[in-house]
Amino acid sequence: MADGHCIRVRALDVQNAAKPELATIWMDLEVGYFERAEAEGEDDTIPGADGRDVGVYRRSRRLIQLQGYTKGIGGTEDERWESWHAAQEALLGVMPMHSAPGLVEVDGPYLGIPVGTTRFLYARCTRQLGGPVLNHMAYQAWSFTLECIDSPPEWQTEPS
Amino acid sequence: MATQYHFDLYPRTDPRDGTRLVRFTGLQKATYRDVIGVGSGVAVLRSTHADADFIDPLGEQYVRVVEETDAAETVVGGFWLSDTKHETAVQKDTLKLSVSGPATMAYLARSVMAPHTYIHAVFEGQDPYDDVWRLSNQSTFYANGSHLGAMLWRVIYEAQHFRSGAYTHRHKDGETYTDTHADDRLASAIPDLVMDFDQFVDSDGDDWTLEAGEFQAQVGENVLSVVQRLIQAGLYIEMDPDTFELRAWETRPASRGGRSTDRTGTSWATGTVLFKSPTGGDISTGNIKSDTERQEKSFLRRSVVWAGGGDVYAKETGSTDIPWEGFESANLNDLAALGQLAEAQINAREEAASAVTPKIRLGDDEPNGFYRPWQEVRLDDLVTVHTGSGQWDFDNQTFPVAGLRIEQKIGGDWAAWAELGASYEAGRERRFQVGPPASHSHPPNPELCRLGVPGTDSSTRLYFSLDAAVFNPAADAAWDDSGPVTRRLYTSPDGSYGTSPTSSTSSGDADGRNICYWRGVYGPLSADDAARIAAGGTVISGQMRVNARYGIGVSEAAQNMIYQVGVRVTQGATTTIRGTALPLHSLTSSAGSTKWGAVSSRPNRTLPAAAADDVLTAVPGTAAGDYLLIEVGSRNYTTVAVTGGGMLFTSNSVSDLPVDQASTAALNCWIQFDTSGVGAVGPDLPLDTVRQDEESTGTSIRAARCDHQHAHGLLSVSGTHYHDQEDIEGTTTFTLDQLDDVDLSTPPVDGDTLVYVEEEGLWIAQAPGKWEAVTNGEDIFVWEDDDLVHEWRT
Repeated sequence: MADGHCIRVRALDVQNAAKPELATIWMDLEVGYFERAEAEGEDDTIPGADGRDVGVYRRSRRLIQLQGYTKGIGGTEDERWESWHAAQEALLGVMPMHSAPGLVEVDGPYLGIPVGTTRFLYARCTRQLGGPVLNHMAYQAWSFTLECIDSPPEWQTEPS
Repeated sequence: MATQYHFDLYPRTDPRDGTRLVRFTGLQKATYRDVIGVGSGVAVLRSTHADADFIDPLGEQYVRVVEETDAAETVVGGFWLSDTKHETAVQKDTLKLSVSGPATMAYLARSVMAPHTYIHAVFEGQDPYDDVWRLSNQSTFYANGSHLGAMLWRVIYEAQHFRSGAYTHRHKDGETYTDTHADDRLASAIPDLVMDFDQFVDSDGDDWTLEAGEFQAQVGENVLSVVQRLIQAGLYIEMDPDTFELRAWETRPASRGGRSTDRTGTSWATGTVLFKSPTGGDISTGNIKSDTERQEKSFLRRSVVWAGGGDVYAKETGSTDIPWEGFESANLNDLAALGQLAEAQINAREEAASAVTPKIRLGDDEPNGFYRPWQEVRLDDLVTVHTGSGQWDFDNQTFPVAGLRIEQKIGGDWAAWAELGASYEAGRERRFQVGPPASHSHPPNPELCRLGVPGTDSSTRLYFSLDAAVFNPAADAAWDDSGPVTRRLYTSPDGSYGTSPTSSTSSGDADGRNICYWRGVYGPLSADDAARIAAGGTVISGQMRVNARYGIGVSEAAQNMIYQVGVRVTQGATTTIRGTALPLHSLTSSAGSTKWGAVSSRPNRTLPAAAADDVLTAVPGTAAGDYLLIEVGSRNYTTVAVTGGGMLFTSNSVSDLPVDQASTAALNCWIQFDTSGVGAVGPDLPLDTVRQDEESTGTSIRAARCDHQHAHGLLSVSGTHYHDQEDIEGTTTFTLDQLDDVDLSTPPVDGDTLVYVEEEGLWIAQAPGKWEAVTNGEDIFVWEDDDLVHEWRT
């Protein structure tokens, strides 16, 4: 069930405050919720004819893109360093490149999902890109690509 | 619903009847390819998938390839899991499990040609010797001789049988034993296989017609290898992937055609397979899908091919206008077989020279160009390809289907290809060569050293049998009383007829009425016999004991009847008449012929009637495998009401009726065909499988009837070195000491010269003008002036 937070990856709240400016981790799901899953198949050409003989295509995978940042919060520079470092450890800890797919949950009303409803799928991080560390080691932008190969690779609704 | 395929897994210990273990649902790759012969299949899945739990690391499980169209399932293929690869502990730890193996017919590879025969009962088999199974020399009567299909049957029969207690057969020394051996086969390696044909007919019930001349197999040779050589020699063989039925047909007669089915055509229709480019620019007007490539390999064609070896060769010509010679080595001595081999080789090369592999538009809709492999497009069928009329187009070109291939696409549907021509490996596999047997040592064996003999007179004596013929041609229309069902004639008396007469009370008339008493067939004719009948000039003769009606109430003096006999030729073992060699005579009286005696003793009479013709006219086209249809009876000129007659067909005596018009002894009746100045006999081999007397059926001039027994029993009784050709053939002069341990009641005087000749499967030693000794290899009979004066029996 939704607990007031919007996105969890492997149970980690990646929007860990009500507002972005108060969060040490803030990731938005920018791609991969409304888009259709990729499909694979093969059509056949008939040489000399327009068009193709249609083949069977099947949903193959869904790519999800999370974009956001980690930020250190505190009254002193040391507190901000410490806060930022903890956020980095937590976020990257749920984005392994080698593990089996993990649970990704999205709570309404984020992305227009009804309030009280959670959508979920299983995905694995296949690409991560960090920006430069800024603000005296208190800020870094991140972009993660997660791949869902569920059968089918679609968002499901968690039973209430 | 689109056509789909499934791979179903069956247990290794019971592949035919066992319960399906799993239908694979997690295959990452699935391919199956079928060719004429043995195809192959591949399946790839992840070893962590639940399906992989059913795969036995010991292998040899069986996969049925199942087609599903509109919820109907059909098994269209199968392959064995003979090769397993697991990609683990490699650079990319994919955990992929690849299982693959040869198609269903590879089952035959589990058995080899054994060192012993296991065919017995009436078919008294002989062990192979010199490490060679002489399959083409098997019994013509029980096993149908050298017909390709008959040899296939024999190979499988042997592979499926084994010792179960002592059994009677002949060892390599030619002697008969009832025993067992320490190295006997005790279980069949191919018990699940079921033959859908036998030694006489193919899987459609049609008689085998193609013969191989000579065909051998090596002890230890893989059964699949032998079967493939038979495919190359002209058989089409398939094994049902579901029932494990082995089916066989002859699909390659000398004139190339004879495919399973001609499905060619210039437009799409039910029953037609046409691969064509679109004519209307949209995909509904074409069905050649992507990836089609034409391959022309002109270097494969030959303008002439010789086939043969050992100084015996046949030559056939091809269609190419570029002179290019070819050769196929074959250890055969039969020119017809060599010619067939050369022609098959030419055709196979021409097929392989032009090949194309169109991707099939998969589906069940022939009128719109959708086909399913193994259903509408089948191996060895003829189909059409049309892409246009340009130089590099296929312009309604006919191709045989050499292979079929299906492959699962990434989306889960399937692609299918037809390999037309003789493409890929099939091009090499379809070399129509009958391979020679492997070389072997040559221990002393007289028959192996036997050379060919020059032409000589031919004489074939036939005896009457109660055995029913397998076919029943209609009686000659010239018979007024058409007679009984068709029986058989053999070159040895089979004992089936005693001295009970076959009688008739049919009336006669002044001009003669033809009354048929007996009808029978002799065959299949050997190539040499057929050539004689085709050429004409053969003389028919015979001796039978007959009578006109006699007794109380019968005017014996008024009885007036003579022989009537007719000879025709059937096309193979069918009721179709190829031609008439001797028509019924139409003599209007019995004048000039010896009438049948109206007495109970049934005196001997010479056949045919003296005033009738006794020379067979030519029957062009008579071929090996044809049969002679012989009908005998009387022509009755009796004008009184009470008349009739009787004939004896005795075949249970040790001796034959002499040539006279009086004998009343209970001796064998016979009919004989004599031809002068022909009958060259090629090198021959000893018997392989059957009793000596029966082997002579159908191949009466062949020296093969002289086997080990014969050689030991007669020729070397006093140590004659029978290994020398001149000691066992032709008209070589012998001296008496070569028979000095034979107790002749009227012995020749030492110093007499004997002439030794082969005749009727018997060996005759003659002291011209004095006496004559005849032996069948075991017993010796001595005549003087046509009287049997002594019997010497083993």
